[in-house]
Amino acid sequence: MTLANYDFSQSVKDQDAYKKLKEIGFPTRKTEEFREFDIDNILSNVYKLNCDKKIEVAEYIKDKNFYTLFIANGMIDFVHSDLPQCISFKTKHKNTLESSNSLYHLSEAFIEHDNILFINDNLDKPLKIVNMYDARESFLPTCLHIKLKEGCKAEVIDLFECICLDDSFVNINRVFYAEENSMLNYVKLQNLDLKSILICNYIPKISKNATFNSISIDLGARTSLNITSVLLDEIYSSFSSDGIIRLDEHQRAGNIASMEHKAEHTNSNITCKHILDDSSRALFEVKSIVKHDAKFSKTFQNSQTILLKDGARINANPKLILDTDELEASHGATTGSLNEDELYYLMSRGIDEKKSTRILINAIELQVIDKIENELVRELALKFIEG
Amino acid sequence: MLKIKNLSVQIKDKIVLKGLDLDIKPGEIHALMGSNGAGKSTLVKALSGHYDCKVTDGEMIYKDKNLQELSVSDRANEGIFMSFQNPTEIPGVNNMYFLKTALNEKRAYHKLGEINIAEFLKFVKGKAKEFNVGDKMLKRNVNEGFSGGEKKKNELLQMLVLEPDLLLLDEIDSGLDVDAIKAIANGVNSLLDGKRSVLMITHYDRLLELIKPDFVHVLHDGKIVKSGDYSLALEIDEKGFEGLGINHDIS
Ligand SMILES: Nc1ncnc2c1ncn2[C@@H]1O[C@H](COP(=O)(O)OP(=O)(O)O)[C@@H](O)[C@H]1O
Ligand SMILES: [Mg+2]
Repeated sequence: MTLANYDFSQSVKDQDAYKKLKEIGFPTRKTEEFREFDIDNILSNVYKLNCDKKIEVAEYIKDKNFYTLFIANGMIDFVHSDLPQCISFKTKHKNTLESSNSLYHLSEAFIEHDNILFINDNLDKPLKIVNMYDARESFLPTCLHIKLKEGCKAEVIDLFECICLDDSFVNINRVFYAEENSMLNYVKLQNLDLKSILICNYIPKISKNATFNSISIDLGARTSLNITSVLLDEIYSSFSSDGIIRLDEHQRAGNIASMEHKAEHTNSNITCKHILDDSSRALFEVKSIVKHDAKFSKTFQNSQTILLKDGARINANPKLILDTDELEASHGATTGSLNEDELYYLMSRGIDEKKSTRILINAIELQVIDKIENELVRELALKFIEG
Repeated sequence: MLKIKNLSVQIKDKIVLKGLDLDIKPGEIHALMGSNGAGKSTLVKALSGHYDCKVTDGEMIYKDKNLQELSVSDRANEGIFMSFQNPTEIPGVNNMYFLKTALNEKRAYHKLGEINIAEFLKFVKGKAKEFNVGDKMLKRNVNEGFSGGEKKKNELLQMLVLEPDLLLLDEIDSGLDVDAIKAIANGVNSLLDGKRSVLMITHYDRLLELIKPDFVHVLHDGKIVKSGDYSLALEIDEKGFEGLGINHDIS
C-alpha cells in the first residue's frame, strides 16, 4: 500500500487521528519546508504495514551505566528491558493532541492506545531507549509518551540502530511532558542505514519552571527529519535544541521547528551545526512566534554550516515573528568551509588531509557535545560521533 | 639534504621568489636574513607546501625527492618541519591529542606501530619540563589563547616530539624575552646531532649567538644576493642591509 492515497483506512486504529490527517493533508513537494525532501516519493512508495520479523534483543549487550528500554521494529519489548522501579509504563485511552504536523497524525492513526512511560523520580542513571530495526520496504510507526514527574530530573537517550532498513520509512512520535520544576534532558543519536527514511515528530509539553533540553545527532539515514512543535504557555518554561547534522553522498536531513511563546519569561533556543559533504542537503526551517503576552521571553535561533564540497547545500530559514517589544531575540545563519589555515597547520605536522578534516569537524561537533551535562551521556555521544 | 634550484614562487598575483638557489647539506645550519617583505617566509612556506605558494619555475629536491610531488603531510612525515612565524590557533583540538596524533601519523608513515600512551606522556612531560614549556599548555587547545611566547614554545615542543630532519625556523625568536630565546635555542640544539639541518630566519643576533650558523644568506627581491659565514651576520648587525649595499627599495 502507499500512504499518499490514504489507502490504509482498513488498518487505522485511531479514527480521530486519521480524520485530522485527512483534514490537514500530507505535505507535498510544493510544501515550502519539504521542497528538498522528495516527500511525494517517500509517501507514494509501496510499504508493507506489518513487520513481524523478530529481532534477537537478548543478544544486545546492555551497558550497566544506563537503564535500557528496547523498542524492536517499533514494538516495545519489556521482557529484555531493564528499568528501575521509578519508571512505570501504562497504556491509556487515546488522547490525540492538536498538531498541525500531519506526519504526527499519520503515526497516531496506526496506534490504538497511548503508550506512556512515567518517570516518577530522579533517575540515578540515564535511560537509554534502544530502537532497533530489521525490516525491508516497511512503514514503521511508533509513538511513545514520556512523562517526567514534577521536580525531577532525568536524562533520556534515543538511540537509533538498525540491522537493515532497506527502503523503509520509520515515523516516530515522541511526546514529552516535563512537569513543573522538572528538567528533562533528551539526546537523540541516529546512524541508520543509508537506504532508510526517519522522521521524528517531537511535541514537548513544558510546564511552569520546567526545562526540556534536546541534543540530536543525525549521521545516517537517506532522509532524516526532526519536526518539533513547542508551545510555551507556562511561565518560566524553557526549551532548547542543539543539533549536529553530518551528511555525505546524497543524504538529506533537517530540522523543522516551530516555537510559540505564549507566557511571560519563556525561553527557546535552537541551534544546529551542519557538516555537508558531496551532494548532501540540509534544512533548517525554524520559526519563533512570540505572542503579545509573552513579555520578557527569549528566543534564539542559529544555523551554522560547513560545506565541504561545492555540490552540498543548506537551506536555512530562521524566522522570528514578534508581537511584543519586551524580549530578547536573535536569529542567524552562517555558511562557510573549514578554515584553510587550521587545515594546513595540522597537515604540516604530518596529519593527512582526510584525518585533518576529521579532526576539525570533530572540534566543531564537540561544541555541541560539550553542552551535554551528564558525563556518561557525553561520553556516549562522543563515541558516537567518532564512529 | 635540500637542493633548491632556480626557484620562482608566486603568491596570489605577486611573484615573490625570482630564481632562488640554495643548497643545504646534512648537519649544516643556515641563517636567512633580509628586510621585511623580502620573501623569507615565502621560501619556507613553499618548502612545506603552503596552499598560497605557487611554484612557477625551478625545483626543490629534498632527500632525492621532488617536493612538489609530495603532499603537505608527506613532506612533514619525510622530516620537514616548519615552525610558523604566526602559529595558527585551532579551537576545539586538544594540544596533547594533536601531538600524539601527529607522532602516530609519522610512525604509521614509516610503518611503525602506535606509541604507547604512558610512554608518550612521560616523554612529552619530560621535554616540557626540560625546556621550560608550561605544563598547562599541554592541556589547552592548540595555540588557542596562547601568548606569542607560548605559541613559539609550542612549536618547539612539536619539533621535539616529531624529531624532524630539516628544521625551518621562521622567526622563532621574535617577540620573546631572553630567557625564552635561550630555552628555545637549547631545545633546537638538543636536536642537532650533526645530521639534522636547520634553515632559520631571524632579524636578531641573539639567536645566532645561541645557534651558530655555518652559513648566512641575505635575501633581497626574491633572490639570495649575498652569502657568507657567521661574520656576515655580525656585519649586518653593525651596518644594516643598506650598509652592505643592499638597496631597500624593492621594485
Ligand atoms: N597571502 C599573501 N597575499 C598577498 N601577498 C602576500 C601574501 N603573503 C606574502 N605576500 C607578499 O609577499 C612578499 C613576501 O612576503 P614574506 O615572504 O612574508 O616576507 P618576509 O617573510 O621576508 O618578511 C611581501 O611583499 C608580501 O606582502
Ligand atoms: Mg616573514
